[in-house]
Amino acid sequence: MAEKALRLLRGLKDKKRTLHRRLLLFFILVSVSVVLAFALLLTLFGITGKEDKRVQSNLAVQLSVLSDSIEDDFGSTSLGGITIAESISAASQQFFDKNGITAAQMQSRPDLIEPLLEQHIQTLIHTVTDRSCGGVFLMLDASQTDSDGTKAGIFIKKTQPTATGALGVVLHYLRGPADIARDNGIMLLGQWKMEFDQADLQVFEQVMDTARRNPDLPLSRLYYWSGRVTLRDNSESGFLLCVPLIAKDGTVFGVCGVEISDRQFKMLYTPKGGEIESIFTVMAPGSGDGVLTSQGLVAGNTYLTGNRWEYDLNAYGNHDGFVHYMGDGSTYGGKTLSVRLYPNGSPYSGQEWTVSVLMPLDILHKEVDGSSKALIWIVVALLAVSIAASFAVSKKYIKPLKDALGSIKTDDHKQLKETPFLEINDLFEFLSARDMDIERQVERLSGEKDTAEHRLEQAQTYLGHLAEERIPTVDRDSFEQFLQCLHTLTAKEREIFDLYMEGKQAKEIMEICNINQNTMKYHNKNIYSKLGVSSRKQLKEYAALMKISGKTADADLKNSP
Amino acid sequence: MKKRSVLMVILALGLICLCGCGDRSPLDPDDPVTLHMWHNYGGDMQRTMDELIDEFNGTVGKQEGILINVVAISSGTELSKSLDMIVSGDPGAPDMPDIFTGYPKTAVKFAGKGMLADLDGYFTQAELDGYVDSFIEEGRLQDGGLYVFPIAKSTEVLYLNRTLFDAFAEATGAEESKLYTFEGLAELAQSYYKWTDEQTPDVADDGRQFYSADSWFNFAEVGTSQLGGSIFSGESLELDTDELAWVFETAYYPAVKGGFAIHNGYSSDLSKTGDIICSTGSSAGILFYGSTVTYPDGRVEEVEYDILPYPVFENGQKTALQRGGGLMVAKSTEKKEYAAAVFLKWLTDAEHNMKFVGQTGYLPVTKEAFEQLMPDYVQAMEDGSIKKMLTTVMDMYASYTFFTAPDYPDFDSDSSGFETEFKELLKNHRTEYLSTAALRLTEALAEIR
Repeated sequence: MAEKALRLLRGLKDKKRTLHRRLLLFFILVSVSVVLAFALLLTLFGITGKEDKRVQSNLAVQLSVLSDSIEDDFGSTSLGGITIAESISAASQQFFDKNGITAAQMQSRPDLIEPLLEQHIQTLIHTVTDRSCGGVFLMLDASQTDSDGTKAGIFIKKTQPTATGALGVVLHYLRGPADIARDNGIMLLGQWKMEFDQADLQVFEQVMDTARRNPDLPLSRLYYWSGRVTLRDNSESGFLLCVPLIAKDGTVFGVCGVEISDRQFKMLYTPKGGEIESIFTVMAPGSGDGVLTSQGLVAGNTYLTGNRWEYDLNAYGNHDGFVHYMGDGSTYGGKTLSVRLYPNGSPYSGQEWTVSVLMPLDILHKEVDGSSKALIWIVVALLAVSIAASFAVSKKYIKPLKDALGSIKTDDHKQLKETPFLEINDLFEFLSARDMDIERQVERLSGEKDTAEHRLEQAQTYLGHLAEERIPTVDRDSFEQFLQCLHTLTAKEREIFDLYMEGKQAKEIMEICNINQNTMKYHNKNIYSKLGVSSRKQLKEYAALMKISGKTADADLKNSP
Repeated sequence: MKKRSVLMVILALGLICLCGCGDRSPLDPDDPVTLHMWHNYGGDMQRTMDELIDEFNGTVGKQEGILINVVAISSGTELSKSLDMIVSGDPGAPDMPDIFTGYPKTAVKFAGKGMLADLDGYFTQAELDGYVDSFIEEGRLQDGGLYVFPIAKSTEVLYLNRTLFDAFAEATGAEESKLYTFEGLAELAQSYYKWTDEQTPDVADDGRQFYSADSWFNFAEVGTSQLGGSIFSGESLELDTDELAWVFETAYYPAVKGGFAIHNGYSSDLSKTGDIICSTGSSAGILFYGSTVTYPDGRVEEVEYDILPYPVFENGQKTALQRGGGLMVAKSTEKKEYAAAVFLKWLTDAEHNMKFVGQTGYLPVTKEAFEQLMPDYVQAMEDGSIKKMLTTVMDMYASYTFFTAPDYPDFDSDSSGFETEFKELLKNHRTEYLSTAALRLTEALAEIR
C-alpha cells in the first residue's frame, strides 16, 4: 500500500502523468490549501500563539493575590503577637510586683516560674484557639530546673491550624509544665519536654539580644519573623513570630509569639489551581539573586517539590518574563515579589522576604508551548488526513474510468452495458459500431480468401497433371543420371541447387550465398557437369519436374513410369 | 489484497474496542481530581501519614491524576463532632470531606442519608478476600454495603514502665504475673500506693497511683465481656449485671483508697511524668509515651516501656477490644469515588500498610501483611517500643477473642455518659474517703446503675 502511494507520488514528478496522478495532485493541492488557510485564520485571530501571555498573566495574578494575602496575614499576625506580648508583659509585671521581685530576679525564684506560666496559659489558649496558626509559645529567660541551658516556657500546638473557635480545635502540648497541661485538658505530645531545649533557643536569644541593644524601640519595631524552624523532635516546621517580653524596668525577660506551621502555610497559600495545577508558592528570605528556600515554606502540590527544601534557589536567567531558578539540580520558573514584614525603623527592616509563584521548568515550558504544539499537531494531522482522503477519493473516483479503459483493451466493453460516465458510454457505442464494420469486412475478405484458395487448389491439380504428362517427353536416362548424381554435389553446390529448386534467380542466389559472379559461374559449371545438364534451362526443367512429381534422387526415379 | 485490508481494519477496530473496554478508569492525569481528606492520625503519626500521602501524590496519584489534600487532622472525637454537624446540615457546618476516618457508628448516620459510597463496587471479590475478614465485616452496615474501609487496626494493651516497676518489685517483691489480671493489678496498685505513701511518713496520703485507663468505659465493656456478660442490651446500656458489679468493685477500692488514677485525659500524660506505672490504652498510642519520665522538679529519667497483653479478669475469657475505624468515602461523582478507591488500595497494600504500622504501632489489614509479613517484619525491626508492641499484639491475636463496639446511633452519648459518671463517682468517693475513710461500694454501685 505504502509502496503504491510512493509510486504515485513519484509519478507526480513525471511530465506525462496518469489520470489518477493528475486527479490526486489536484485533490492534495485543494485540501492542503484549505488546512493552511484554517491555520492562518487561527493565528490571525489570536486563537493561538498567546500561551506564554496566558501563563504569565495567570502567575502574575496568583502572585499578586498571594503576596497581598501573605502581607496582610503576616501583618495581622505581627500585630496580634505584639498585643499578646504587651498583655503578657503587663500581667507578668503585676506578678513580679505582687511577689516582690523584678523580672531580672526571676531566675532566683524558680518556684515562681510555674505559677507565672500558669497565669498566662489562658492567654495562650485563647490565642491559639482564635487565630489561624500552627501553635503559640511563651519562653521565659529563666529555668525551673537545674538542667543545663534549658528555659522555662510553654509551646501549644494545634493539629488543625486553620480551625478557629472551639469547634475542631485540638491542642497538644509540646513544651511546658505537665500540670498546667492537665489542668487545662491539653494532651502531651510524645515529644513533650518540660522546658525549651538549648537547641530551640537560638532564635529566641537573637530576639532578646536585639531588644536589649535597642531599648528605645517599641515592640512594634522589635518583633521578628524567623525562617523555617523545627523545634527539637517536633514533627512540624514553621515560621515563628517572636516578640520580646519587656518589663517596665526595661528588662527583656522572654519571648512570646505565634507559629505559622508548614501545614498551615500549605492550607492557606496553595495557589488556586484553576487552569494550571502545577504552581506552588514559596515564601522565603531573599538573598540577592536567589531565594533562601532552605529557610522557607512551600505551599502547593508537594509531590512536585517536596515539602521542606534543604537547599536554596539561585536565579540564573529571565526568559519570556519568567525568572528561572536552579537549586540542587532542579530548575523552576516563575515570578517573585518582595513582601514587607517589618516597618521602617525596625532593626530587621533590611531583611528581604520574598514570595514566589513557581513551576517546575519543564512543566512551565509545556504550559507555554503546549497549545501551539497542539495546534501544530492538529494541522499536521489534518494534512495527513486530507492527503489520505485525496488518495482514497481519487482512487475511488478513477476506478470506474480505469475499469472502462481496461475493458476496452480486453474487448470486455462489449459486455459492459452502462458506466457512470456518459462520455465512456458514447465511446463504447462508437467502438461497437466500428467493431461491427470490421466484422463485416473480415467476413467479406474471408469469402474472397476461400475463393482464392479454391482456385489455387485447381491450379496445382492442373500443374500435377501437366507434369505427369511431361515426364514421358524427358530423356529418361538423362533425367535418371540427373537424379543419381544429385548426391555428388558439394554442400555449397547443393545449397545453390536447392535455391534454384525454390525458383530463385542467379542474382538472388549470389546475394543469399554471399558469393560473386565468378564463383557463381564456377559452381554452376560444376553442378551442370555433375548432373549432366547443358544449360540452366535444362537444370530448371529437371528441377521443376522433380519437384512436381515429388521425386528425389535414385529411388524416386526408379518408381517413376 | 482486499481481504488483507479488511482484516487489518477489523483488527484495528478490535484493538480500539479492546482499549476502550479494558480500561474503564474515569481518571485523567491531565485533569487531576483532588480529594479532600480528614483524618485523626495526629501528633507523631501525622508525619507518617503525611509522608505516605506525599508519596502517593508523587507516584500513583501523579500517574492516575489523583491529588490527596489533607485539610483536617483532629482527634476522632473532634472529627466526629464536625461530621455530626455536616450530617445534620447545621448552619456553619464545614464542607463534607471526600474521604475521612471514622467508625461504623458515624457511617450509620451518613449512610442512612445516602451520603456515603458503597465501596463494594470498587473492589473485586478477590481483592476483598485479601483483607482480614473480620476487618472488612466490621465496615459493613446493616444493608450489607461496605462503607468503612479498614486501613489500620489496633487493640488495647497494658503499657508498663519497666524501669519504675522493677524498682517497686525489687523493694516489695511485687510479682509481675499479677499484671495479667485486673484483680492482680488492683492488688499491686494498692500495694504500690501504700509503698510510695510510706516513703514520706510525715505526709499523709501522698502515695503515687499505679494504673490508669484511657477509657473506663472500655474497661467496663471489655471486663463484663471477659466475665461472660455484656454491658449492652439491644441499643442501650445494661448496667445491672453481676459481671459489671464485679468489674466496678475491682476498680472501686484502688480508685478510692489509692492505686488507680482517675484522670481526665490520656494515661500517657501521667506516664510521662511518672505519676503512674502502667496503663491500658490503644496500641496505636505508643508514640505518645516517649522514652523519658520528667519529674516535677525538671529531672528527666530515661525509662524503658514494656507492652503486656490486655489484662483479663480472673476466670474470665481472654477478650479485648478491636479498635481503629477506617476510611469512609463521600457519595460523589464516579471519578472521585473511583479515585478514593485507588488511594485505599494503595494505602492498604502490604508495602504501604506495613510502612504505616511499622512507625505507628497499628496493625495491618491485609491477610498477606497480617499473617505472612508481620512475623518476619517484626523480627527484623530494631528493638524498641513499636517492636514490643507489635509482638504483644500479634500474640494477642493468636490467643484472644476480639470484639468491636456496637454501632447503634446513641452509642457515643451512652459511652461518654458512662465515662463521665464513672470518673465523677470515683473521684467523689476518693475525696470523701480522704476525709472520712469511708468506703461505700454498695451505694456507689447503685449510683452507677
